[in-house]
Amino acid sequence: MIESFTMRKHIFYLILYLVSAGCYPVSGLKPIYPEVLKSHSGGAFFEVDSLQPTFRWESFPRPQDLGKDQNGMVGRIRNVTYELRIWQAQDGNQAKPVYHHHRFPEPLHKPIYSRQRIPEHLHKIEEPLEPSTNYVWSVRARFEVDGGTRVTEWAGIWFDQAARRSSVVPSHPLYYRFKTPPE
Amino acid sequence: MRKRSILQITIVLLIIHLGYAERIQALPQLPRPPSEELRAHLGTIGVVSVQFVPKVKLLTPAKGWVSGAARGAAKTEGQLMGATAGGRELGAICCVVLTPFALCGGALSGAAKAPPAAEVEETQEELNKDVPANIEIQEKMRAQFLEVARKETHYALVLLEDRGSVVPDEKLSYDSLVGHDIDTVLEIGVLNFGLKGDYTEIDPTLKFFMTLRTRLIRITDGEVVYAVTLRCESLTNHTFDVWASNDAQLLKEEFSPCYSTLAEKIVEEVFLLYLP
Repeated sequence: MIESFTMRKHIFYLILYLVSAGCYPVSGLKPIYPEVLKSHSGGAFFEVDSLQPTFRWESFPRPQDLGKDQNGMVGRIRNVTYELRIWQAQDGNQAKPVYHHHRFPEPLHKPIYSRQRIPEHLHKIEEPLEPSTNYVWSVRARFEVDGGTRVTEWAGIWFDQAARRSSVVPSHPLYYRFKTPPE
Repeated sequence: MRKRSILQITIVLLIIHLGYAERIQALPQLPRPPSEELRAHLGTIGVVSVQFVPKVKLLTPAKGWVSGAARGAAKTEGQLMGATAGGRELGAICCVVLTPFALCGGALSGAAKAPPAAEVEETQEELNKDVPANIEIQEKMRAQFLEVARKETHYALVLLEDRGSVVPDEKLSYDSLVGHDIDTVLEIGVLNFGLKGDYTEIDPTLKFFMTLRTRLIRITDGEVVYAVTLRCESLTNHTFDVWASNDAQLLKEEFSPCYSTLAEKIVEEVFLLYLP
C-alpha cells in the first residue's frame, strides 16, 4: 500500500516536472515561430531564418477559451484578425537588451513594425529588418462578438504575475524575443 | 547622555524627513474588466471630465541642509535595513547599536551635499510657471479618450460639458441626466501629475507621471459599476534640473504620450479586453 502510494507520488512529480519543463507563464496568444527559447529569462534570443521572417502564433479562439466560455460567447465570435507589433531591443546587439532583470523589465518605446487586421495567425514581415539585431514581438487577437469589438491581452511572458495587471502604464511584460541573422 | 542626544537627533531627523518627503502611493492591481453583461447594458454613454485642476506633485532635490540631512538619514536607514534584513539576532543587535551613529553620519553627508534651498525653490517656481496645472489638462485627456474610443469601439458616446466633479472626492449625482437618453456616465479625471523618484536621494533621477481615475456610473440608480485608477509613467528619467531646463521642454513633451497611453488603456480595459 505504502509502496503504491510512493510510486504514485513519484509518477505525479514526474508528470509535473515534464509539464512544467515545457511551460512558461504566457499571457495572450502563444508563439509558434519565432520560438521561445527555454533560456528566455536569461536573455536568449531565437535566431530567425531571414530578415523577413514569417511569424506564426496560435489561433484564436483557443481550447482554453472554449473551456471557460461564458454564455456561449465563444461560439458567437466573428471576424477574428490579429495585430502584430515588433520593437527593437533597447541597446542593440547586446545579449541583455530590454531588461535589466526579468522581474523589472524596462518599458518599450514605440514599435518599429506594427500591423493590424492580419487575417490569419501568421504574417510575413513586409520590410526587411536590420541584420544581427535583437527584437521583441507581441501579438493579440481582435474579434467581434454580438456586434462589439474585443481584444485579447498583448501576448508576453509574465514571470511576475502581480505585474500582469499593474495599474501603471505603459506595461512591460517580457515580450517574445528573437534576433535577425547577419546579412 | 551622548547616546540620548544621538537618539534625539535621529528622531528629529526622521520626523523632518517624513514631513518633507513627497511620496507617490503605489496603486492597487487593475480590477477585472467590466463583465460582458455589464458591457451589453452600457447603452448610450455620456463622457464627462472632472472640473478640478489636477494636483502637482514634484519631488525636488533636497532643499537646503535640513532637508539634505533628513534624506541622508533616510537613505542610511534604508541601507541599514537592507543590510540587516538577511541577518539574525547578531544583525539585529548590530543594527540597533549602529543605527544612531550611521544615521547621524548619513545626515551629515546629506546636509553637506544638498543644494541651497533658495536655488531649488527658484527652479521649482520656474517649472510651475512653464508647466502650469490647469483645467485644459482635463479637456485634452477627455478629447484623447473620445478620439481613441470612437475609433476602436462601436459604443454610442456623447460628450457632456460641465458635468463632472468640481472637487476630487465629490460624491456627484447624475440624477439630472435621467430621461436625457444617457444610460451610463463615463467620468474621466486626471488626479495629479508630477515627478517621482527615490525620495531618499539628494538629487534623484525622476520620472514624469500622471494619475487618472475613470468611473462608470449607472444613471438609473447612481451606482458606480466600475472604477479604475491608472498611472502613466515616462520611459525616461532625468534629474530635476534637466526636467526644468529649456523652459521645461522635456516635461511638456511627456504629456502627449501619457494622454495617448492612458486613453488607449481606458478604452482597452473598459470596452475591449477579453479575459477568459
